[in-house]
Amino acid sequence: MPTTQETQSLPATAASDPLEIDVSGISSPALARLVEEIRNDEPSTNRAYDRVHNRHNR
Amino acid sequence: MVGIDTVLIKVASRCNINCSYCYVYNMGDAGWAVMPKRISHETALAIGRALSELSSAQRHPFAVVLHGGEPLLLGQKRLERLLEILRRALPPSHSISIQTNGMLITEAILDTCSEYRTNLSVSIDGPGIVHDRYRVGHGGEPTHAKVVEGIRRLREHRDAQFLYSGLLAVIDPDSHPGDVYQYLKGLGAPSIDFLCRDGNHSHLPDGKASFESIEFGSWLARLLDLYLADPTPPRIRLFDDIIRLILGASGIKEGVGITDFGILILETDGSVAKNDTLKSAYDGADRFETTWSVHEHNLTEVVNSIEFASYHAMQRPSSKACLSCPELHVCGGGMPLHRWSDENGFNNPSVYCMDQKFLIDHIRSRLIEYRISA
Repeated sequence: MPTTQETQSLPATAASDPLEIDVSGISSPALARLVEEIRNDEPSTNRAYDRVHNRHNR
Repeated sequence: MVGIDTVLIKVASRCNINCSYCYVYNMGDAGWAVMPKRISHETALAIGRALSELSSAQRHPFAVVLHGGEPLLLGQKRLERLLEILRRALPPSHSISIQTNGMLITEAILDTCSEYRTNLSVSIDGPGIVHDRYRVGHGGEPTHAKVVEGIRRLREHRDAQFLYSGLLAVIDPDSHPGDVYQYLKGLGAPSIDFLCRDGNHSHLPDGKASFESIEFGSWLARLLDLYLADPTPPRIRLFDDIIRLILGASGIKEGVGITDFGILILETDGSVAKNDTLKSAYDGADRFETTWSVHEHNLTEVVNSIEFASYHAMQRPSSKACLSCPELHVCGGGMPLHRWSDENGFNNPSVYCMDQKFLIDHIRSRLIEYRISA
């Protein structure tokens, strides 16, 4: 994660459009994956309709 | 016509454990007691016919999830017969999954699931000291060791890459998120999700002091920081959904965002019910006024009905606070069950409103720090 010093040195408008950002420059693998998925319009799970596994069996 | 993307079948109405936070057994509803213990062969056949017709009527496939109670109380033979019926009834594009407490996973059951392309997700709340506080047996005994054994079998099966879908944990805000994160990650699931405890404005969730408090939001914020900093993270569905929504994409599950999800619940006797989490609001909250059953009714007609459409619309929040909130498109007003109050019904923001706001703000701040705009 960027250090406080690194973020404080950035201009206020330094945040980039996810469609334009170079994912190799994102230091968080989770975020890099998500940006790539959004850019490629990919579903957020490996399998379609996979979300059902998140329904809790309580 | 309401498009159905999920059909949840409660194949067993009983459970082999008795989690103290369970919305089925411990939050005021007794509907399960009048249900058959397990789905009958006749009901399974009727469900197969009904789902085949629904699939033909829709343009897009739906996912089927076997639920309960504890679905593996069916046993291997009954499970095999049910899956055979479902696979015969539905095209391969329709996924079938099981949400299980993991304690009854056997090699034979896994072989059957593999044969009929049915994956499993396991409920586990964290390391034993966290999990066993609430997920206990009927005598109050711990369950963690048996769950872990079930997960081990799942991981070691030759078809584990397909079968092992994910883990699902209910948040204990008194636990250390780092301990929970590292432990669950160590179980090797491709995806992990987290749920807040059931509760509402009239019955606060256990661990939440007030509407204004943010125990769950702050716990999740700490978990998020670990997730974003992890060089080898699993997928965490809740965070992925919120981040996607903030960046202009869509989520995949109800509870965040304003996408309408079409969920059809079939009870153990084949009757059609509402979202079972509504049980936590009041006794009978998950039942339609109209009595529908796969034995007598066409599911396409059910989902085309005014009553079903009205229920479907409940996903969207109605309170002024939600509709005027700048984060509506991300938060979505949360889960309907969390909006209930005895005074206003479901016309409230979520009881987790402050938690959601805190978490969303935290994620926005982190995105800026990582130089990603919304």
